[in-house]
Amino acid sequence: MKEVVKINSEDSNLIERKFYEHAAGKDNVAFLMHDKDIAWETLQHYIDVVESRFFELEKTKERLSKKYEPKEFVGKSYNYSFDFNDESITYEMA
Amino acid sequence: MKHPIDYSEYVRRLYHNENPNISSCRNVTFVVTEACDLRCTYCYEAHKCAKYMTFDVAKKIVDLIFKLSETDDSEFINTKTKAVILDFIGGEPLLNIKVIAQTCDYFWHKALELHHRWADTFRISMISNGVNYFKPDVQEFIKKYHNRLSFGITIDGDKDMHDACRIHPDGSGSWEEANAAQMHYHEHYGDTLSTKVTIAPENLEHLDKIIKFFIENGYTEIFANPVYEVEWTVEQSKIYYEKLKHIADYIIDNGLKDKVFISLFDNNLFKPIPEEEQHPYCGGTGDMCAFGTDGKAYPCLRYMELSLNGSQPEICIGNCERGIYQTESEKAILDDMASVTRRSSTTDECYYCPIASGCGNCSAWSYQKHGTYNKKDVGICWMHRARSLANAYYYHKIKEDFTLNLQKEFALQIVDESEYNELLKG
Repeated sequence: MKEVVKINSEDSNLIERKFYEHAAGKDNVAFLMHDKDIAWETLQHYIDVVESRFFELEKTKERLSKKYEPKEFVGKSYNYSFDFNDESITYEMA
Repeated sequence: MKHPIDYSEYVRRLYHNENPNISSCRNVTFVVTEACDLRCTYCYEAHKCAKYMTFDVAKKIVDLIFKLSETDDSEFINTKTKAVILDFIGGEPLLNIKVIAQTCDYFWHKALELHHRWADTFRISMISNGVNYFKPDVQEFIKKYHNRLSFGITIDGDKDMHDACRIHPDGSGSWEEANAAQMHYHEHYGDTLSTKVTIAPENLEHLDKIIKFFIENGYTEIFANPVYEVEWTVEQSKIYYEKLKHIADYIIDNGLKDKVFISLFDNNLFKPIPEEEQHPYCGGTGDMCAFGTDGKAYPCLRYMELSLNGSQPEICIGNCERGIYQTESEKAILDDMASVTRRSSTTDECYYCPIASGCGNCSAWSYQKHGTYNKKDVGICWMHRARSLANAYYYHKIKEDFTLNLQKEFALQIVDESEYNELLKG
């Protein structure tokens, strides 16, 4: 069973931004680790940034997936994915 | 056809709710070399020579743009500039890959050390002829930066079409190298296969074949536009209309409507532009900045001698040492460019044109041709009219809304009355 639920632009925008910033943080860490002489202090700062962005992203995903959860999926085990262009969440029974 | 969004629009979409006043993104162009290893027959850069930007100059440019980002003293880059695109061009930019790599490393380290917003948001953009693509230092650069890199390779169509114009100094074609590079990049970095077709009098007759070639070879985003530097004729517009109809039929007959994006068809265009929209089409009047190999700054690459070829004096707006728009004469250029509006740069006929939206122009070409950037050149008119007719043909055939706004007296110079009446019906 699969259901596509439209979400409001503000929520879609928010979650897209969280994904984008988390990915950008990971790029920053990868770049610093590529250096011959690693700047450990800077690297640690950006590892912390990525970690906090990851928790922010997961929290926001969880909150929005619950906010738009279709009735038939309540209490069931399911997967979900975001489509930013379509401003929607696709729910699929596990 | 879903319209792909560019990075600037993407950043605006991401951060608009957070701060509606952000100026989302600015392009900073580094002309890293004026040298090129090809001798394309249509290249507008007639003054190619072996000038290369040094890392010292590139570093000063990077320092300058970071400095600008800390205050609101500059309209171009300031505290509200959320992202920058470092645009490396030439000549052939990959001929100076060492300086490009050093510059990107320096930029990213600086952004990270400063905890600057651009560490997350900066992008690198480059378009190459593909000849040097497989060199180890180029491969190393692409591998390191591919997540932040928008990389394009210019291909004109199939081997015959490409090799007719894009040639080495010895006259041999460059298609094999360009195509191999494009396929390798696509295979390893998974990007959508995308290309930009420049429509010139030399390839107009082959336009449908060119588009078909790209579609058959897996390209799903095809941008195309006629060159601005031509006084297109009504006869050429008739050919253009027929070619666009062939492309429309090909898309429809092969069920490609939702699979391929072709910028030539767009039912949001070909309408009058509302009075309140006064920003000129071209960003070359103050929205961009290009730095030459010696660090001199210009509103766009097209205002450099490299492009103007002696037809007009170049327009310089500063340099990487002391900044941009600093002297009285540079400030006067900025004020003058800022005063360019759609109204100030067009005749009444153009301003009130019923199909004005989507009709592009190059401000530097206006400067080159007319001696002023405040005068929209109309050499493109007939091609835009033909394109509006072809869009009516396409959208009516797929039963989507399209209002044909083109004046009848112009339409009847391209198509006969019965075809015009068909296009009106929808």
